[in-house]
This record gives sequence, C-alpha cells and structure tokens, in this order.
Amino acid sequence: MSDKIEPMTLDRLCELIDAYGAAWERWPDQERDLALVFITTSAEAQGLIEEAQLLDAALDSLPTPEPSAVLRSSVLDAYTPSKLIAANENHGLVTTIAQWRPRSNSSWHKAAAATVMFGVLCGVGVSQVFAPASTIVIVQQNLPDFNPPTADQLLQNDVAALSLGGEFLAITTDTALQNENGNDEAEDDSEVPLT
Amino acid sequence: MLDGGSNKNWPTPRPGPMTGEVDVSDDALLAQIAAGDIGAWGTIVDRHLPAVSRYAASVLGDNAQGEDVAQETFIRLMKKAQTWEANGAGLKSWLFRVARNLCIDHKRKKRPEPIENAEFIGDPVDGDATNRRIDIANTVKLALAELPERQQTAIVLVHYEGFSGSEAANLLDISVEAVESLLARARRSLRMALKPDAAELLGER
Repeated sequence: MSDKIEPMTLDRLCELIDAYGAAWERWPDQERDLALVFITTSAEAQGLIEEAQLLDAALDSLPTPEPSAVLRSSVLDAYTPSKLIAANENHGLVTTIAQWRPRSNSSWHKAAAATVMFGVLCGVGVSQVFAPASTIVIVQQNLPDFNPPTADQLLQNDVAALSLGGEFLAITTDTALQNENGNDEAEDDSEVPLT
Repeated sequence: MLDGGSNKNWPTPRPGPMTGEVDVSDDALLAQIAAGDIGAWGTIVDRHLPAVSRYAASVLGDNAQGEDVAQETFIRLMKKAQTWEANGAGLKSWLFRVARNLCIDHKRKKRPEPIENAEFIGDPVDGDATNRRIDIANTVKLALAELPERQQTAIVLVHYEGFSGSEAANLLDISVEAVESLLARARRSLRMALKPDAAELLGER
C-alpha cells in the first residue's frame, strides 16, 4: 500500500481482505470507501468477503477475557511516588510505598504486633513512622486532595525511621515482618489518626 | 506472579486536577503521574490495562502469564513516567512495545493452557453448544500459538485490539506493506491450521 490513493482493483481488494479480513472497520481509512464501492460491483469480491468472514468468525470465537480485579488492584497499588522510590533505593532497609487517596473510614485500630513500634509526630511539618529494620512499611496518606509528600529514611539501632513531609490527616501502615529468607512471618495493620 | 489479595477500595478514576476534562491526553496524565497524582495513575491503568492484558494473554496463550506481563509493563510505565517525553510515538505504542518484548521473554515452547471453563463463552441454555464453543476456541488458540511471533503479534494487534495497519507497523518497526504481508500470511496459516475442523470452524464442507 502506498500513501497515494490508487483506484481500487480486485487485486488490491484481495490484498486488503487477505490482510485485514472481511470487517471493513479494519481496512485502511483512505481505501475503505473505494473498496466498499468496488464490492458492490463485483460478485467475485463479494465471494472473497464471505470466505473471509468465516475465518473472522473462527477468530472471534476465542474469548478475550478482561483483566482480573486482582491485576487491576495490584497495578494500582504499585503506584509509588518517585521521591519515596528514591528514598527506598537510597537506604534499602525499609521498603516504602506511599499512596494517597480519599478514605471515608476515620476510625482507627491497632493490631497487636508487639515487635513493631510506631511513633508519629503530628503536625503540618513532618510525620515519622518507626519500624524495625527488615520490615516492609506501606504508608497511605489520608488526604482529600492531591498533595505530594516528601520522604526520607534513617536507620539507627536497627530501627528505621521514615520521615514524611506534608499534611496528613492520618497515616495507615501495613507492616509485614520478614524472616531472614525474606518471607513474610507476620503482618500488622494500623491506622494512626493525626487530628 | 501477582501479589494479589489486595482488597483496597480504589477511587473511581477521575480527570486530572488541572484540566477538569474527561478525555485528558495520555501525555498530560503521565505528567500528572510524575507529579504524584494517583488519580491520573488510575485513569491510565483503566484506559490501557485491559488491552495490554488481553494482548499478552493472547500472545502467551495463558491468562495468568498475560496478567504478569501486563503488571510488569505498568510497573515499568510507573518508572518511565518520570522521564516521559510527549513527542514520542505515544503511550499506547510504548505499552504494547514493552509488553511484546516481555512476552517474547516469557514465551515458552510449551503449548498454551487449554480453555477448560465456559466462563466467557458458555451458553447458559445449550450445554452442547458450550462444549462446541470451547472446542472451537481451543483450536483457534492453538493455531494462534503456532504462528511465528511477528505474525501472531500482528494478528492480535489488528484483529483483536483494533490497531490500524499503520499503528501496528509503527509498533513492529516495519512498513505498512510488511504488516499486511504478515497479516496475510498469518491468516493463511490459520486457515490451513483450522482446515481439519473446517466444517465446524469455517463453515466449509
């Protein structure tokens, strides 16, 4: 096919049907109208269309399922602001994923995982989350509107302190303790209100 | 594999905060993602994830592997958003290019997993019809899996994902004529592969 529009011929129509099948929606825009007009004048062309429709129908029999809800959720959850990625890559001991989104649940609970300690400094400035090294901390901001955070980490006496700069109504932490092999041993979910 | 199990309730994707329009361009959304806008991320995911997932599942012949590829593709996009340049070939092309490369990496010589349930193609009334549809779908799936990778990619992009010839050509780095040649050879091979079942599949006698 060339950019120049040529008169439609049976040979070219054969090429279109061979490549794109019988569904004219798939044919190149610039040739579609000419091809459709040509088909009305050619019994041979109509025969080619009918033949191609059979293969199209066979191909259409293959189901194309939509992605699972788990996939969508996993991809959405993978979102990590770049500054937090950088903080994690710089320190390596605490994996931090920060997410912010509207949440309607303002109550909070604290799971009983005694080995994890959280400390939160409230205010407009900096909030901190402390957790043992080798712990995965997921931080979710409870913000009504978009407001990008900043983050930094500090390791001291096997306790990693994650400092978040920004305005937080609450921070939710999902903490999974890991053993030496990197496998999850226990989980702890806490939501800490700051207001 | 996917780190599934998340039951978090994500907000409905919304237009970017800067535009207030429904049809925000991919480039604008990527700029918002780079600035930390999770709503823009949700919009991009819902706009492109289904097609990328379907493509990978079709090419690999395995839904689970296809979803793994789709997830990895979007993780790469998340990182790419920081350096995304709006004057490129476009996000759709970039996503499918990455997914295609990942599919090539994933591809095993084993045959694809057969379709065993009728979740997507079942006939709620006629059980025999459902079984026939499963048989036909499996035959087509196996025939697709036997195609050379480029032919397979071309047919999946154009027939199933609605790519134009020029869009597929751009993604495959070949001319439109070459794409049409790939498609024609693919369809010829499929017709031959389906020949033994022609009466059922192609309506031939």
